[in-house]
Amino acid sequence: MDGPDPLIQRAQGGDEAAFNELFRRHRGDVSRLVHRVIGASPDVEDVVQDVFVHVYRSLPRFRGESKFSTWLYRLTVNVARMHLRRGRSRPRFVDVPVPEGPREAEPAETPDRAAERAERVRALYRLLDGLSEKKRMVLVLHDFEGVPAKEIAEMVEAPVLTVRTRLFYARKELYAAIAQDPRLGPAVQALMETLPGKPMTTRDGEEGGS
Amino acid sequence: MSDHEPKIAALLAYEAGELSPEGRRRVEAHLGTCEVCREALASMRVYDELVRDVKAEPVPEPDWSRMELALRREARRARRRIGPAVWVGLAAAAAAVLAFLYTQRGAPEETLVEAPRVEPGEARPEPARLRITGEVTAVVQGVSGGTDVLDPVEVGTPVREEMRIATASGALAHLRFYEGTGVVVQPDTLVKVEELREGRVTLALLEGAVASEVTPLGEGDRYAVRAGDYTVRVRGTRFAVVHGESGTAVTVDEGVVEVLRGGEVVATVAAPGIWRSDDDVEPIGEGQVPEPLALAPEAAGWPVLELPEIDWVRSWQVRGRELPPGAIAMRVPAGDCDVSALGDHGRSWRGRIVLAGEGQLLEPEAIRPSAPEVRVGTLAPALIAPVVERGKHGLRRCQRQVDLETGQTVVGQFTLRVTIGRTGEVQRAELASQGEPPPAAYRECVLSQVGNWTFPPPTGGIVTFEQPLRVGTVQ
Repeated sequence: MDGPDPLIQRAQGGDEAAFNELFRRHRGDVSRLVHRVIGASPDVEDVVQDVFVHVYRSLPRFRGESKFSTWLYRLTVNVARMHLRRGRSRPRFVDVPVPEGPREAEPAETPDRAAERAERVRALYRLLDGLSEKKRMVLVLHDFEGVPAKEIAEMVEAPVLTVRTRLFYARKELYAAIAQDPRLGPAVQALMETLPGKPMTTRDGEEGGS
Repeated sequence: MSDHEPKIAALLAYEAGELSPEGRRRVEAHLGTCEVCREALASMRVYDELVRDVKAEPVPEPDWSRMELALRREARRARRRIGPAVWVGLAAAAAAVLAFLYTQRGAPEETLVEAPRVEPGEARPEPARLRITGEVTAVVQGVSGGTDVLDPVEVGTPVREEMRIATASGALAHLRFYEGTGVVVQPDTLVKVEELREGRVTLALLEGAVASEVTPLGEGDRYAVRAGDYTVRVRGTRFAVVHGESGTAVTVDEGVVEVLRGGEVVATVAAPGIWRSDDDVEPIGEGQVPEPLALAPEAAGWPVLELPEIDWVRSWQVRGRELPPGAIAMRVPAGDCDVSALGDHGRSWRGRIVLAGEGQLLEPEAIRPSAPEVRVGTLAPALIAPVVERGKHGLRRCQRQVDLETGQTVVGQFTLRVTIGRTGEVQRAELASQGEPPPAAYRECVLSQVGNWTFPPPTGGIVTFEQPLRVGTVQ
């Protein structure tokens, strides 16, 4: 996808077949990224469509100074951000239903486990709504999508250090929110019992060192 | 105990196996005595599990054929309106096309999505430092400015070199200097814009606090805040400077800043970090440096939303951003804008305004608080009991914890009164006693535990139940 890709050049020149080919090549990645950023939502499809409408319009201005995939991801992130921003100004506390449809769950997975996992993921996305947009983007790109910090820095046009800082704070806020969350908190409480250095509560211990 | 901040950085290093055996031993010893850090570590592990869950979630396949059709329509539309060769680089035309598209879809768009910039950062030509003009993008309550600080400052007031801005108590001003760079002038502040040129911004903070957001600067560019003897210099970051009689303090939420005195660097502060010249000066808290509003390049054309001062309003929320009470004027993107006003005791108001043209003033009469809505519902005791049973373990831990920490043995008969909200969350919990009141630490612990319980959602509204607790006779 680097350098002067003839397909991109043709699409930039208005060749619709070339644009369609670009769409087919990248639509899977864009769709997955949108899904990861906004979570399971019936809006995913609209957002993906908006991304490609913007790609269509902005492509003539793409001069190949960055990788096409980085440019496309950056655009996707911007469109998804706008979507989240619109969503934030609406009343929230709505539990978004997961769209029904053919789901290719792994064969070993029972429907119960898949439903449980989907519920945990929904709870996590509710907590992501509490993060600032910038922190959320960095967290999703880094932790969910595995994009290295250096590449994220290019996408969000911020220094790598800033990306790392946002990631640190995003995680820190999430850890605190997870512990307080009615759906996820009990798992934290249960896990606390198994951690190393579990205090002996039946006899007088040493005083706290913090 | 609850004042203790979890040692996240140390715990992350512990989890990643990056600590020496001695370091591991120290962390484990600390974990043995610190519930806050134990909880943080457990949360970290739960988060890692959740990330695995997210990655395992199948991504539903969109209806590509529908999308292909929509893209073909878009291509036809673009051809009709403007030829592709002419269209290149015409941002205004693109905005018109976008506006047209959204009109067609019946969903008013609020702002143009910024297309990625493609200019290589390093190849920026070094221009003469031309003067530039910024703009005030939002004000809360009374703000004045000008060279003698007598002129009223409003949204849209140009910001130029030599301008001074003064905010009263409870007032704020958001300024945009150029794309991605601006400042929030905090209450009780006097600041002077000493230099406002291409790639050069210097603010002189005479008193009070300013919070800046600075887009990464090019080679030779500079953004600085002078405060007394100190100069705080950045290359692209979000940071706040507080200056007063007791000294100067710097809080860095993103990036790195240098603090200079007499031309010498006296401190380099990396995020997250705070530096202060004197112990008495109160900095802005870490993670609390506010972001200036409307830094986007197109923001100068946005309409102005004006909100009145209303006595019962404790805070405003405009497009998801919380703002202090008081009369507010701010630039917001055209289109639908959701506004909420929050008061005490659950009173609130929520409305949607369509902003166009110059903007809109929201009349005070239009904003009436709703009475807190309470509807009583039902939930079978058989559905309540298992949740309480599971929670008792945590309550017993509270008892042991108070015993250990305060040496007080908790004994007594108490009544736990719990209100379950519509989604099954605990909305309210009280611990009453027939005799001696329970020790405060025990009460706090119990209520915090109960706050985490989750019940099946009641039917029809909220539900309140009481649970007797006998403490002291059972281990």
